[in-house]
Amino acid sequence: MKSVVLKEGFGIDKLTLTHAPSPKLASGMILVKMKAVSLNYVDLLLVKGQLNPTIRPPFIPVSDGAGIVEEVGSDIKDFKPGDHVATTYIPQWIDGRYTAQNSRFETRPGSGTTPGQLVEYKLFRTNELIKVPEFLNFAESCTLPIAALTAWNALAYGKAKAGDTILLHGTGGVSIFALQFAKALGARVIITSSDDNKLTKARELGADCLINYKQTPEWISDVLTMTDSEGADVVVETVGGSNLNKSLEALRLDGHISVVGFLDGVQSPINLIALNLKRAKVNGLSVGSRQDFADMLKAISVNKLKPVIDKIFPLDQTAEAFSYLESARHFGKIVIEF
Amino acid sequence: MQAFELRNKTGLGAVSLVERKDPQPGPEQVLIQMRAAALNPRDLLVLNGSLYPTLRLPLVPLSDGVGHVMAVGEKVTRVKPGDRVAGIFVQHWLSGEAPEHALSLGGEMDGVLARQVVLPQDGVVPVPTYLTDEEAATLPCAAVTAWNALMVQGNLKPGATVLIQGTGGVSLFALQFARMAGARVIVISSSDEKLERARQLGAEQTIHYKRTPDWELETLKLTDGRGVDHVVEVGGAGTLSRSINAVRAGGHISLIGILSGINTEISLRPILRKQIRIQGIYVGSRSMFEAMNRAIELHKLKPVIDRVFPFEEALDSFGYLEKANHVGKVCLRF
Repeated sequence: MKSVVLKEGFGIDKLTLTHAPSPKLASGMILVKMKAVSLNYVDLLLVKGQLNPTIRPPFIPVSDGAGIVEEVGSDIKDFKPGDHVATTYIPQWIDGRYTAQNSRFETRPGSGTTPGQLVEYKLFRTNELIKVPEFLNFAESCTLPIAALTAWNALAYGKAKAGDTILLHGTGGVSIFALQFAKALGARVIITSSDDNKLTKARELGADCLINYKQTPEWISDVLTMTDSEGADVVVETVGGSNLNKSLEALRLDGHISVVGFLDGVQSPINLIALNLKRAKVNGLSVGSRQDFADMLKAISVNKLKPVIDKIFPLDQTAEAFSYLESARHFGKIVIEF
Repeated sequence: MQAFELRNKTGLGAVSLVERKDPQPGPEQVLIQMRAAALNPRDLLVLNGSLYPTLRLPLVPLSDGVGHVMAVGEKVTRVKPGDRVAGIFVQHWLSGEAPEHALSLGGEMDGVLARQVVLPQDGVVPVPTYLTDEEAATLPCAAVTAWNALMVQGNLKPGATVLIQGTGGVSLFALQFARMAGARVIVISSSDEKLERARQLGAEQTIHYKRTPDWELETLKLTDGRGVDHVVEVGGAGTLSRSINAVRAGGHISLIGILSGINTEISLRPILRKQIRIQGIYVGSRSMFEAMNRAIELHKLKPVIDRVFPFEEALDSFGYLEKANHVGKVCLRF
């Protein structure tokens, strides 16, 4: 079977297509034929050696995948051959609180210890998979585990509801899922980007207000104008760095900032007076639990939401897919199909 | 000015059109020229004396109405003459927890079935401009109740399943809000015509409860045996037991209406076993009303109106509501 591994050292150019024997089914395990994986920024960090420099090659990267169940161990009840499944990113976080115990980094596929999904056949435990609705194809399903669930919880933690205004930055995977979920729950969406073409696409997906932040450096006042001077109810902070203070300025009193990314840097200055006066909540989040995933899938099914895929690469162009992610030209998700 | 009054006793027959002195706004009050009103089953219960053991008579009925501000007291800052406003149902419930003793329009205090009404400035809310007067008049009780039930207490999430009983005012607002929020809706009714209307408004499944009296079992079938996430309970005594069986473990029942009675015996076992929340809903606060307005303005939601009567025919409109053949709201135009 085929897989793509980091063979010797880090770097996109070190991603190598290899052949290895397929794994044999064992009790307690589920054998999945992987059909597609999607790329997240965290995968790029890993490949470049910036996430976990201690991993030992050869290592199979990429956290998110989807496939079809081939065979199940005799003791497996929750899955059967033919089921369409996606992988879960924090497999032991079933529900409730996020704890050191249930969120261990080593359990996260493709993060350095547990191999990732860029492999044709793979054995999983029950909690490492979730059934996905069959109106989605595999390329679509494989985008859900990190990006969609992150977006889902960014809105859920902010208690976003119909009539609220949601501010989104950029048009990457999380932002576009947040746009789709926000529209599905009846909220209004303001989205920022430096690219008018991307903004036009966002409008086609239902974005109510578009801001080109390159053309409008004073975009915060635009957000205030659009919200009767109140500000946005929820901001999904995908940029980080110096942007966090701007998001805080654009937030309404009692509003909620879900910090999900740090494309502009992991260190952010923050205006504590504004934080206090606004009684703002700044909420870090880490993807979500299995129960969150199940809730999200219900929303996707009822509203027939289709993940937005920018580009699909074949397995032998994995390096090109990563370079494309690095170029940040995408709108929505980047997928590799087997 | 003209007003309808419940005079010296209860009963629909005791309502009559009278001439009252034109009211004047106090320093923090607003004078409203009423344009439209909407009826609720609650108004019938007030009029026939079954909701309040003692009523302060004479009483101007009806909680829900919309009009234009004609004049304001010197300390009024929230609205200005010309604004179109609705009264809020519980006049002093502005936000947060419900007050212990609700002072509601057309109940503890005079309502809106008068050509002119004076209310405190805190007791009115501007209504979305795109709505007609009749449409806007439907919001204070029925719409806010549905909003509170699903969006506030129910914390409705997209993908959740909501069971809605009937096609009255609260039920149809609940249907519209649930669809607006990305939820799935099942409606029960005893009329194919009403069920068809519910499907047009976005109900995914409908159950005719005369033909399928065990509608709670049908509901379980439609939810893979799990039950629904929320029930909008407007039936009361006659339906609550079935609703308890139709809701999922950990689910939520908004107890809103008592159309089929007030007293009932229910088994506590499924409530404990499934850890259900049964939540009484008595309309909602002003801040809920305002949040709801933001949502309906964004979605340009149109309240469903069954029939509009002229002001003078208010008594006929009560009789019409009592027959319960309506789908959506029964309104009055002033």
